[in-house]
Amino acid sequence: MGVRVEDDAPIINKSIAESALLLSNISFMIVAVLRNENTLIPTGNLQIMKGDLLYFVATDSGKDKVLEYAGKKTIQIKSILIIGGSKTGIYIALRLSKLYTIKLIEKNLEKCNYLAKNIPNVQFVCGDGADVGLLKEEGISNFDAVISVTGNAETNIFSCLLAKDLGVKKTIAMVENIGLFDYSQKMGVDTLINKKMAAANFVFRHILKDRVLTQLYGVNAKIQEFVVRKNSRIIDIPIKKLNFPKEAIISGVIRDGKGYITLGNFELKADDTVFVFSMPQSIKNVISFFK
Amino acid sequence: MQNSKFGTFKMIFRQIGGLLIILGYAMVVPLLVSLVYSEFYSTIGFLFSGLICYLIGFLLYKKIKVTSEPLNRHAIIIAALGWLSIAIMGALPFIIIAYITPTVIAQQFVPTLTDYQSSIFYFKNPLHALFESMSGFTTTGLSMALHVPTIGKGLIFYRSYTQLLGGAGFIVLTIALLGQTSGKVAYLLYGAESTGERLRPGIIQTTRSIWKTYIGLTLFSFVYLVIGTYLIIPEYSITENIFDSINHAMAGQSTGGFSTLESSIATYHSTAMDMLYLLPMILGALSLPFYFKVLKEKQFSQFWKNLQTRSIIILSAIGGIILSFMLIKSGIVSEPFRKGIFQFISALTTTGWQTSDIHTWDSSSVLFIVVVGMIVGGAAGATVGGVKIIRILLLFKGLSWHINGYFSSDNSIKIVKFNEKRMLPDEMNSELAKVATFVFIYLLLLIVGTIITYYFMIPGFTLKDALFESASALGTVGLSCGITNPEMSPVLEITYIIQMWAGRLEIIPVLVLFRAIFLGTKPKVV
Repeated sequence: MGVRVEDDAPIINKSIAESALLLSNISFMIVAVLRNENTLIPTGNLQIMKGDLLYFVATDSGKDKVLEYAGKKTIQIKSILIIGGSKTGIYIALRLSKLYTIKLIEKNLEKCNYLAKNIPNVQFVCGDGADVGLLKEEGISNFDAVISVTGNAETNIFSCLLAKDLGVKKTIAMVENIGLFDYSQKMGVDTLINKKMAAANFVFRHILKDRVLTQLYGVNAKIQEFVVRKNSRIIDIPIKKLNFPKEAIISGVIRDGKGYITLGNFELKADDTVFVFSMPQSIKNVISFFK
Repeated sequence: MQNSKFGTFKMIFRQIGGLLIILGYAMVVPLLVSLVYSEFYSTIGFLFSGLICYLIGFLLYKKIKVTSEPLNRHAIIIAALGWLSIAIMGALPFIIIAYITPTVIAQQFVPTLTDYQSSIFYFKNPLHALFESMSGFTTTGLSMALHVPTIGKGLIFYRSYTQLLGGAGFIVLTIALLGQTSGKVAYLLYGAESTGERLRPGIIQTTRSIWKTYIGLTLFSFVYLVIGTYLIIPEYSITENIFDSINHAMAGQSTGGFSTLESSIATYHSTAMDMLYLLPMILGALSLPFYFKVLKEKQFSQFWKNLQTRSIIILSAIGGIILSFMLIKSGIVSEPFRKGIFQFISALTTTGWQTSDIHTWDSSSVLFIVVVGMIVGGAAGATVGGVKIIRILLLFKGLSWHINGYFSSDNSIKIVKFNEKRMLPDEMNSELAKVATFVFIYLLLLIVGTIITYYFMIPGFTLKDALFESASALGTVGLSCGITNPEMSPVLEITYIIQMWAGRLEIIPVLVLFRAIFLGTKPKVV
């Protein structure tokens, strides 16, 4: 998961080694830092600065602690406003309608009627998602999250910014225009959806035969998956003593179906599935390391 | 123009001819029953009536050559006029038998030690015969035969039999049996008389399915009643038991409510028998297409899941109990629970079997049974009268939808979910308009009927009785508080005949017929 470091986070201007003392547990770890469009694989000495985007690996129970660590509060989401009845919007509505209160705004009346007739548990509103008056009338500030997925990136960004301004805690915008991508996040939209990137990720993963799981946006590093062989030379040695390639980090291990976060003292065993976070230039080294 | 108008009528009469042919054939059954009971005058009566019906029908059907096919408005006129002709022709056996049966023979039906005449002779008055026939075919159950057993087994059977024929729809029966009208025409006719719900791909198969389901249910009721009666009152003669059960099964499944007995179901003087007769009434009040689907797909959980069916079961229980408490409060009726529950279900299902003298009830109980029972009626697609429970539910849904609408913003699409169907505001509004128009005209006709009753009834009755009797005729219920009897004013009798006729066809076809007669068939241009 990626978290941006906020002003009041307790970890600002501390190195990772220092900040680890703040929370002595092993349910999560930082695997990459994105600072001014550069990707850094963290070492103990790396200083965390305001505005860094930290990528964490965490176990289920560690999720909330990550947010606490980065100075964010957990948001309870109950109601969602979706702007735009695009395929993405409809799919989101269908998937989430049982779990959340959902309102969907769509411009085209006929489409609106068609959707309203066929999708239960969703309140449909016919109107322009970029119309401030309409958004206010629909009580945009009462929603916990706004997902803007119209075909127009500017509208989506604008609606999300407006929602943020009116006090919505979480905003998500679909931005197909890559040029707007970085800026929209800087301007305050919490999360971005880009269909091209999602598709590219999927294709990429397919080509590398499932070894590369996913690519995080903006981060050059890739997540790869390895299985430790039985007679491997890396077994039973603490990770910090292994000569692990630079610019790569072991981010987690699955052993007998259970996830572990690997800190320096962790010892690998045979048949462990290891997730490695690595910069492109060290991918080859990492692959040979596990051979 | 003149020519096309003439053509229109030719086409309508040809269809009515088809109905009469079937009616002629149908007379064979009561003829056989009369033979079994050695009532030869009745046999002759049915033979002649059958022949007359068949002959007229044959002439109309075969001799009229038509080029054009009926349109929707024609189908509706055929439904209205067809039902009127069937009631008129169905009155023939009553009249003929009343005239040809010698007094001596007729008096044999009257129990000894009583001093009244056989009720057959009331039917010498053609209006009484028409009333009885209309009451039978529309499954109402109001009767001119003051002492039912005195008209002979043949006619008793014929009365119940007309209810069976009228129950699932005489036009539907004709389509099923003649089966030669083109699909489109048949569908229009089916829609004009019944729900218009298609059960099978073809319309003729659909009508046959409906009748098979209907006959099957009647047979089930028959077996149920024979066994039930035998278990409850074993000393009752077995031949009487079978005769009663077959008649009551026909009258119950069609929610008609004619009985073979002197004072309806109360004659048995048994609480257990009252309870036994609740089931056939409720079975009759459920939609026939619903039965067809349940039996075909073997989904018996639908008895609870289906909105109409569930509402009827719930309303039967709650309404019966409320009425019982109202009767307790009034303190007039003995055994308020037994009578309250039976009478409420009899009214709700528009059957009309009677166990209590409703004339003696207090006004609020009468008002309750009229409004919640008779006006509501059973399920659409069943053999019941009234405005049908689904329409009442739709009106309530419309009300809550309207109120809830104030709480959502102007631009929201205010979807309404009704009976497993999601409807857009436009669709809901058009449904509501249709239903509201119908309920309005229904209530209007009820009020007009009540007022006419009030002025023409015999002294001794009050406004509540007038309301009750009028609602009973319009809702094809057949419960009576005593206003309906052979001495009633002819004006009132005609009013009730019209109410029964209009009530069975859900009023609109009758209005369309009047429009066609008085204003022609040209569309109105403003």
